[in-house]
Amino acid sequence: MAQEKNTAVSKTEQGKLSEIAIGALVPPVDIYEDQEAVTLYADLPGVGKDNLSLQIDKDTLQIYGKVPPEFGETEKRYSEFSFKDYYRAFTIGEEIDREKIAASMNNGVLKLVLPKAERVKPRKIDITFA
Amino acid sequence: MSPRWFEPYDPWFSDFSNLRRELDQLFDIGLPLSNIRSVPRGTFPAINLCEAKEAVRVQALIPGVDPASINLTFQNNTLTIQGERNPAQTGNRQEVAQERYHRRERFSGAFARVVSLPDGLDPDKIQASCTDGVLTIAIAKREEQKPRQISVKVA
Repeated sequence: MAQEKNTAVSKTEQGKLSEIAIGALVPPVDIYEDQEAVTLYADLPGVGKDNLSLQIDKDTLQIYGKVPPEFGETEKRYSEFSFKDYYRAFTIGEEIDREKIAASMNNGVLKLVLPKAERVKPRKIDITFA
Repeated sequence: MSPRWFEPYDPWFSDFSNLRRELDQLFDIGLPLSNIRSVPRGTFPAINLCEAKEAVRVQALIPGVDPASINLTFQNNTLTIQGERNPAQTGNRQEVAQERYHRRERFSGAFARVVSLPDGLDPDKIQASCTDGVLTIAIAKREEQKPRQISVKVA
C-alpha cells in the first residue's frame, strides 16, 4: 500500500497526473464566472492543503487530492463512501491568466480563482463624435 | 444532469458510467427491492459507521461546513447530525446570480442525518472532531458491553 502511494507521488512529480487518477474519486464542483475571473469550488473531504496538487499543462487544469491513510476505517458496519484519492481535470481557455491563479483550502473545500487576462476584460469604449 | 457525487474517475468508460448512473437513478426510484436503510446517491452528508472493541465511530463528510455550526445530538441510541451549508461561501455571503454558474454539483442548504446506533453506548463518553471536512464522532461502549470471563463454582 505504501509502495503504491510512493509511486503516485513520484508520478505526480513527473507530470503524469492523469495516469494515477484512474480509480480516483471525482469530486463535485461549483464553477461560476464573472467579469474578473472564473471561480471553482471543489469538495475534497479528507484533503489538507499539503496533500493537494494542482497542475496546469498548456490548457489543462488538473486537480489531485490525496487522502491520508489515517482516515481509513477497518471495521465498517455500514458504509456510504470509501476514502480514495480525488482527481478531476478541466480545460481552460487562453483568456485565463496562468500566473495569477490562486488556490486555498478550507474545511476540505478547494477554492480556485482563475483570473482573466486584462485584454479580455470588458472595456468601456468612449465614442467621440466627429 | 444530476450531480456526480464522488464517483471513480474513468476516462475510457465514461459513457458506461453515465449509463450506470442513469440506471442507478432509475433503481433508486423504481426497483421494488431495495434496502429500507439505503439512501439515494448524493445524500449529504455521506456517513460511515465503524465498530471497534471500545467504541462506535461515525464518520461524516461535511466539507465546507463550519464544524462549530454543526448540531449534534444523541438520545436513545440515536445520533442526529444537523447543519447547513452555504454553497458559495463567498466571504461576504454575496449571492452569485444563477446565470453566472457553469456548474452546480455541490450540495447546498440545510441537512440532517439520523443514525440508529447499537445498544450499550455511554452517552457521557462522546467525542467529536472535524479534520479537513471529515467529521468523526466516537461514542464509547459501556463497561457491561465488553466481554467478561465468568468462573463456574463447583457445588
